[in-house]
Order: sequence, then structure tokens, then C-alpha cells
Amino acid sequence: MRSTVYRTLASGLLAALPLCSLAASPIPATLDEYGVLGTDGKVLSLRGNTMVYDLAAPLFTDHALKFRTLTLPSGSTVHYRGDEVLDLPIGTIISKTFYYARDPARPGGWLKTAKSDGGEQIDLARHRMIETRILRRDSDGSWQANTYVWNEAQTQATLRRIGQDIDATLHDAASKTTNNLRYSVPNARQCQTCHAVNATNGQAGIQPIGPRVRYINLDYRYDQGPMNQLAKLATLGKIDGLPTNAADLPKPIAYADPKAGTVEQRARAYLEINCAHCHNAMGDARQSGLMLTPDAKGSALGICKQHVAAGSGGANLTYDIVPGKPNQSLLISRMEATTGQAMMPRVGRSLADQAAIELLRAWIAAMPGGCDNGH
Amino acid sequence: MHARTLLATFVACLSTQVLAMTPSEQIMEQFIDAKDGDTITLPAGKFEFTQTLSVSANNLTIRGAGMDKTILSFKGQNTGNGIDATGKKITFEDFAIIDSKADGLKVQNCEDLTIRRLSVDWTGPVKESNGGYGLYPVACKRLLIEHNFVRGASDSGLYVGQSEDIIVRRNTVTENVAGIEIENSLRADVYENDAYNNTGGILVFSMPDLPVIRNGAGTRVFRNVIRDNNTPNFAGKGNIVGLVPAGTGVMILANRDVEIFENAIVNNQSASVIVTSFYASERPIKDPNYEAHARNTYIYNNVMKNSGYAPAGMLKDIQSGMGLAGVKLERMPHVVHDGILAGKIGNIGELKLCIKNNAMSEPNQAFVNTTLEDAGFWSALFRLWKPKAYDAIPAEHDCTLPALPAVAAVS
Repeated sequence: MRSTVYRTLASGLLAALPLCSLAASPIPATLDEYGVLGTDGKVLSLRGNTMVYDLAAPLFTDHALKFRTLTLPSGSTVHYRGDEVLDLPIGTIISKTFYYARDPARPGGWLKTAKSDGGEQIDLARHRMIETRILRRDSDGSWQANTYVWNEAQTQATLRRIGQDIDATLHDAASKTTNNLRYSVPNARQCQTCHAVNATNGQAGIQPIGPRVRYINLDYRYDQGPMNQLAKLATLGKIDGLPTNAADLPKPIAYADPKAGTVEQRARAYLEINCAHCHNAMGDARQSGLMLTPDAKGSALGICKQHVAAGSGGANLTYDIVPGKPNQSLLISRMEATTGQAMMPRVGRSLADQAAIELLRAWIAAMPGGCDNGH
Repeated sequence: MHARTLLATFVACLSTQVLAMTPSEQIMEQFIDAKDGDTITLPAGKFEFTQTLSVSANNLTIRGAGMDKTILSFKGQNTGNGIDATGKKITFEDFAIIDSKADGLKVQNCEDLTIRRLSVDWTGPVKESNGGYGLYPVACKRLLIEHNFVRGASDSGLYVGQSEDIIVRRNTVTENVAGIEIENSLRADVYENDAYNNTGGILVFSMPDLPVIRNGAGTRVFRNVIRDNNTPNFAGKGNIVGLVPAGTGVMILANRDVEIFENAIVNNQSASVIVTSFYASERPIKDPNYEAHARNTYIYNNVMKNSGYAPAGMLKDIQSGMGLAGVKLERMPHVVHDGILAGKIGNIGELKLCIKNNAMSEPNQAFVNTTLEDAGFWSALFRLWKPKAYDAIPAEHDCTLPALPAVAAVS
């Protein structure tokens, strides 16, 4: 094993190397040191006090499938905080493995797959894991983010702090098209950009985005059958303060499902998970004045709001959203862009999310009014 | 620390050493792992990156071997800025950033920032797809930006946005749409810069719908050389700088308390100085806290020479009598005011645009009120312009204003 090689080398060079002291705890060099996921190269499976979960409204990342896990220290307690991210105990480990179905017709290529298989493992005969991102709650209460890149044999994932671009093809069987994509493993600073609690205070802490009751209050197909994810979480540890009546819990809006809500509700759900982590009053994009949080409205939401610092991403358009006119709305053109200054978000995709673009176009097309002067 | 975790620490450190890293990857890692108090020394050489270099730390210095010796190239990028940074007391000096897809160096939410002797360039002929901003501090406090060179930005070469207490001095900006732009900022001194061959030399703007600083106020533009800013506007049309006429020396948009003095403003084909409200953009204003007029503008002791000989954009339309009234101007005078009386302004004198003791030649006409009025729906439709040019400064602008204080020394 390569880690053995490192350890041998490490012991020989101990005196010569400086200590890394970025986090309160040292950063494991390999994923398996966390003890949450195990692989024999054929199947990725769970280890420890770990559950799989899914999000109703996920971030778009070039159609990658995602295998999310949450691991609690045994005997620990999770605190429910209403519509906030769950307060997870020290020692919690959240993992997110990005993977694709292998394309049998194109060696090294990947297949666009609408949904994962569910269940509590990844079949590596049919799938290729790219990276696993880890959020771990440290002894001082802070969250540490790191990403681990999988080897070709799918037997080990090693720490990669500087990120990595991976070129591949993605075949869409439905449309019989094959696109090139450049999958981008984020670097450790990019993790902070999206997960920052308060970007106005440069190095303030980060927190998870997904484990919010509104996103995870749904059933998952576990090996023993479907079960609500919060109920599953309650089997890992205690949940403090959770309303006993399930009807009192915030409900998710699965934006991809036309039956999940109105076009506006679905569009706003998409903007929240894909954009609002930066486009909020304390976020990395706050100075743009464009707020894509669920409570934003009017020019703060981009309606007849002139972009200010889009630079060459301005696309000859004046306003972020022109009611009734998706073709004149910069928001759409930035979602459609796959290169240059125009592209938004900057991190995590190289392809356009066509289904979401259609949803957002329909939302804007149905808005009343316009941006002509005098109105 | 347990023996096992200690070992893991060494393994983590070692892994980066064992997997042979390229010099570019080593630089990326230094940025990502920067800690408070660090100095990152960039060696001489050309380094290629496909990702943004991103850094967050306090008391940080990033220093190259010289702007012509240490070159960070982002030519292979798909998207993103060259460098993204945030923190308190950060210094960047002595290196070059070239060909980033978006902005060159963006620093946000910072305090006590120094940017010194950097070069930012988009190599090759200038074009709309070049990144928007060369040096781009935003939402920062106390900035010193000096001795830099910026070329080719499709929006602004050196752009300070929503910041406070700013010194921008002795920089060279060329072939950008805007050479230097101070936007929605408080207290800026812009002096001894050389701005040439841009579309507009130095701009002081205040824009609506910005959350950090809603209205810009208190900028002094002095002892700059602002010449030959006649590069055709290559910004996207939707960008506000896309409205800047090629050949603009200085432009003040909706800002309050601006002094322009002791500059040499020479060979700018549209006008030496444009002072305008936001209404002239013919765009709606939805921000209730926004002040759309330029107020308290004092222009004095400048040399203005050879301007207005070939106005571009909206100034061309005005000069050539495209408005409904068909009033033409022989040549665009040195100082242009939009003349819009919107909101609660009863007469133009209330805006306090004061122009005094400037040496103006070619043309000899000093001033024009373009009488754009409130470019609301009807005005925009009919373009009821009757521009009125004056040989000497008219009485309502022949005034003085108290001097603004200098920006306290920063860094």
C-alpha cells in the first residue's frame, strides 16, 4: 500500500520536516484514516457509526452522482435548530463522494445518469469514483474541509489540497450526445469560499450546507427499505429538540421534480442551493448586491438590477433579471456560459445545467412587468 | 498529541513532498496553506496555472522577484480570476499576472492592503473577452496601490469598489476601457498616475444597488497625466463603462465631493472632463437610498489641451445634432455636464459644479451644458437636447469649494 511507503519514508525523514499545523487536528493523508468508508476496489461501503443520506435539492456539479454520508461519534447528540443547519457534535464526519457511471462504449468515459441506485454502497464495477470531500468537526468546534482523490484501482483516496482538473467525456444516452467535460476537484480554499459562515471576516469558520432539515427531511432507499433520513439519523445518535410531529418540520422542495412545487418555488430552491452560499449578505459575493437567498426580492434578487462588476461576463446585457425576458437576463446567460468571466458559479462545473436553465427561464418568462425606464 | 496523530501529521506533510510537485503546484500549495504572518516568496520564472490562486490570511506578504521576472500565467484557465485574496494587512508586490479569464487580482473584504509594483496584462490585441478588472480590491479599508502597470482590462484596469481610505498613486494604466475607476468608495486620493490610450482615463463613479457603500463620496484626482485616451470602447454594452465615450479624460458619475486639480488632461478626443448624473444613462433607478446626481465637484488648476475633436458615443450624437431640436456643436468643449435637473434640484447651481483657473486650449470653449434633462421615458424617446456651449465658465459654475482633506497615510 502506498500509505505504507509514505510512512516508511516519513519515519526516515522525521527530523527534516516541519510540522503542518493548519487544523486543530492533523489532516489525514488518506481517506480510510477517517474510518467512515471502506473499499476493496469492487464495492465502496460504510464503516463506523455511519449513514447514507441524500439532498432534496442538490448542487449541480457536471451531473456527478453523489454518495453522502454522515458519521456521529457514538453516544453523541445532534441539536435541531429549526431552519438552520443541524448542530452536529464534535467528531462528526460528513463525506461526499463524487462518482460517475462508467461508459462501456468509451473506455475512460462516463455516462450521464439521472439518479444514483440508492442503497448503502457504490458498485465499482459499474461506477468510477473521482473524489471524496470530507467535513470534519474538530475538537475546537471548527469544521475542517478537505478533499481526497481516488486512484484508478479505486482502492485508495489520497489528500489533495491544491485541487485537480480531470478531463473526461460524458455520454448522454437519452440524447445520444457525448460532451467533453473538465471535472474540477476543488482546492482547500475553494471549500472555504462556498462553506464560509461569514465571508466578510476573511478567515471566519465554515459550516456544512446540506444537513439542514429542510433539505434532508425525505425518505432514502436503505438496504432494509425506505426510511425517513431524520429517523435514520436518530438511530445513530440522539436528536435534541426535534419536533415530534413530522408535519411541523420544514419540507424540502426537490427542484428537479415538476410535482414538487410551483415553477417559482422550484426556481428559488435551485438558486438557494446553487448560488445563495455566495450570494447572501455575508457571503463571498455580497458586494455584487445580488442576493439569491429565499427571502430576497426586488432589485436585490436581480430584478431590473444592473450588474456592476461582471466585467467581460456582462454579455451585452444590462440587468440580472428582466421580467418576462429570459433572453435579456444576465442570470440565464451566466448559467449558460461554460467558460470565461461569464460563467457562474465559477467552481464545480464545466457544463451547463440545461434542465435548471429551462426551469429558471420559465420562472423569468412568467414574471410580470419589465425594466423600461418610466415603469 | 498522540503518537499516531503526530505520525499522520508528518504523513500529510510528506505526501506533498513525495508526489513530485511542479513549481506551479508548489506555488498553489503555498497560497492555499498560507497562515497569518507568512511571507510567500515567488521565484523568478514563468509559472502556468489552470486554476485561481486563492489565499486567505492576515499579515501576509506575497512577493515576487520583479514584475518582469516572476510571471504567473493563467492562459490555460477555463474560468476564474488570477488571484483571489482576503484578509487583514496583506501586501502583494513585484510580480506579473497575465491572461486570467476573469479578473487579475481580486481582493475582497480586506483591511490595510498594499499592492505595489505588480503588472497585470492581457497579452495580445485588446478585446471584449479579456478579463474585466486588472487590480480589483472591493469592500476593503485602507488601501495603498502604487507603481503598478495594468493593460488590456475589458472593464477597468485598476478598479477600487465599495472601499474606504484609498491611495492610488504612480501607476501606469493603458489600453483598458477605464484606466482607473473609483466606484462607490469613500475618501480616495488618486495622484501622479499615468493614464494613456484607455477608452476613459480616470473615472469616479457611484452606482445604485450596491450594498456595502451605497453612495461614493470624497475623491481627489490630482497631478495625473491623462492623455490620448482614445481607444475604442471594447467593453460589453451592458457594462456601465460600456457607456463611456472613447476619448474621455476624466468622468465623474453621480459621486459627491470630488476634486480634480493640477492634472494634465491632453489629447482626449471626446472631452477632458465629463460630469454627469446617473439619469443620463437612461437606465431606471430602483434603489431608494441612491443619490443619482454628481454634487460638489471642484475642477481647478488643470491643464486641458486638445480635446473634443472627435467625440464618440452619446457625445457624438449630441455634438452632431442628433437630438430632436437639431442643435449642433462645432467642437465638444473641455468640460461636459449633463445638465439634468431631476429629483429635488431646482437649478443647476445647487449641484455645485465649480470650475476655476484651468488652462484650456484647443478648443477654447470651456464648458457645455448638454441639457439632457431627466432622461426618463419621454426624454429618451424624443431626445430633447439643446446643448449650450460657453467660451468661458458660466456664472453658475464659476465658484470655489473648500478643499477636501488628504487621505490619511495608509500602510
